[in-house]
Amino acid sequence: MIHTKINQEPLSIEKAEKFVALPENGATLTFVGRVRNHHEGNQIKAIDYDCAPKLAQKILEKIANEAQEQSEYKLAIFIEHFQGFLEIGGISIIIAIGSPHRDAAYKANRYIIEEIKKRLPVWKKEYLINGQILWQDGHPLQNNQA
Amino acid sequence: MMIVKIELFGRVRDFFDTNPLILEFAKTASINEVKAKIASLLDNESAKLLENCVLANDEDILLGDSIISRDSELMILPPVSGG
Repeated sequence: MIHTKINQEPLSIEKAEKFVALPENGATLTFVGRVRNHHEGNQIKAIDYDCAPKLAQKILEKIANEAQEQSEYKLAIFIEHFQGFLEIGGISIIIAIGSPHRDAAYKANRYIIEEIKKRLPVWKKEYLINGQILWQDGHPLQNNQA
Repeated sequence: MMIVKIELFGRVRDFFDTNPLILEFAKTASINEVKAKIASLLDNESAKLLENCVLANDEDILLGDSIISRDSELMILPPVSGG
């Protein structure tokens, strides 16, 4: 069971954990990414997440399916990434996994966040305390990743 | 005449005063030729940053030798920083 979404509404940890908490899953594991107040020595007050939503949705689905294919268990996978403006502490991403056993949940969750960092067409625009606005450097996309 | 509309994302948004870009080609064009045409509109420093960008449609990232043969809507995607 897989749920993926690029979401312009606030992300819900409760919704994610409810999705993966199935009777057959002895392990549920939720990763929550939040806006922090610093990056590479800069003091940050907010981040605007730019996104190519249709392609991003397709890539989220592909990454989720890859995680499922790599597991020996039937997983419940919930992934939502935020698009828009967030202040410090705001939730930018939730990845929740439900699995019969913990090892598979840890592996899938880690795989998904690392692939998202490399492949998802999302860009962070940082708003600094000093008034500067900076696009964060990132990972160049490859033409075999979509 | 073929029209290729290019939607800009990330830091590439700041390279132009307009979004999307509208490019005209006399006939077919490869993705590399589309990218070169975008670069020709920029100063040297910004054009250099385009080297790390890819062109895509809503379905896929496109290979440099892929051919565009009709009016199209593409996106130019700089290095990503999601999560």
